[in-house]
Amino acid sequence: MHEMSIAIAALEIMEQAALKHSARRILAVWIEVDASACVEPEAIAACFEVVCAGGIAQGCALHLEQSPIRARCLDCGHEFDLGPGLELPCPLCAGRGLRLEGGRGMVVNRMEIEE
Amino acid sequence: MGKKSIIEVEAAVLGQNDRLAQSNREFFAQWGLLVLNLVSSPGSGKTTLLVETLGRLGQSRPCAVIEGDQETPNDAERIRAAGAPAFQINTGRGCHLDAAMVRRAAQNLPLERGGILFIENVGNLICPADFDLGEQAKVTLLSVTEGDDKPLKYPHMIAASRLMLINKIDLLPYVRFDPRLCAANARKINPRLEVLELSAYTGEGMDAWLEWLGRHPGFA
Ligand SMILES: Nc1nc2c(ncn2[C@@H]2O[C@H](COP(=O)(O)OP(=O)(O)O)[C@@H](O)[C@H]2O)c(=O)[nH]1
Ligand SMILES: [Mg+2]
Ligand SMILES: [Zn+2]
Repeated sequence: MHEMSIAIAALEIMEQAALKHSARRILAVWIEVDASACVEPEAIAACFEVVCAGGIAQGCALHLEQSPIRARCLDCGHEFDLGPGLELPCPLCAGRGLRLEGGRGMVVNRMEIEE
Repeated sequence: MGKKSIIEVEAAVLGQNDRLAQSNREFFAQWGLLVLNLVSSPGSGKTTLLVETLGRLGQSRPCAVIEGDQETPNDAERIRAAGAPAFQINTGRGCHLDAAMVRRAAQNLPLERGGILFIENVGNLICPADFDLGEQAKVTLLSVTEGDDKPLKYPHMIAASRLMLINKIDLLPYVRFDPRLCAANARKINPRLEVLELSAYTGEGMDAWLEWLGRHPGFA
């Protein structure tokens, strides 16, 4: 569980962007995470609220966008998109071994700011 | 009320850690330090190996240690008892050290020019692979009770490592573990990986490890 340090890192990125745009407040943020970032959405939301308290992003709305990651079936080689739950079997052969391809992503996409 | 607007940011969150790690690297270079990030599953023998290593290095090369664990100051105390300065970081619910924590710890240690800074990461072969600390090399420790296919199960860490140490070879008579197969499995993922076998208990193989340290003078 590394959500606390990830929340801190996300906030630092947001604060820098806010500074660049001379924002006085950050009202909302859209953050994209894929399943390979090992981030628990509820844990990140809780940590995020804590680290934002008292600063420019206090009370800011967090919109977590779960992005799919590519997976390859270990049995038949079929490639497909995987949603947030990793329990899916392969849609072609129902194989239950998966290799996750690429994307260890957590990205701060957009913010709503008040100037 | 000010004007509201939406701005595009598009910044990867790990980017922040990478930048801090780069700044750590410059800091370590000023000291000419060899900085090693020691990673393993819990209990593979990182602290035991460090204690033995410190004992053998003696006064020949100044060392300092950053200890990462979820809880307890125990490991840092073991290191101090072995005669080296140590800084303990308890990560609580956190599962890895990051560049910011390492910087804070390093600035609280008496570093010596040309010495070695060992970073014992939190026992975990997953997340520490993604967090650059500014080290020169990651050293993965694996013990013979963990299965010789372990490198295949944790490929990201193996891919990120310079050296793999197979520890507890004194236990080989009691377990089904083929060190050569283990090394071959690891090199399927990382062909340039160096591999050494040793026992922190009996001291077998420790000379080769010390020799490896000797061949790595530190950041220039
Ligand atoms: N048999 C054997 N046990 C070892 C060896 N090295 C460490 N151990 C034991 O493994 C356990 C975990 O060691 P420790 O150094 O605390 O592991 P860490 O969690 O990786 O720091 C302890 O009981 C050690 O005494 C070794 O070379 N051989
Ligand atoms: Mg330890
Ligand atoms: Zn399949």
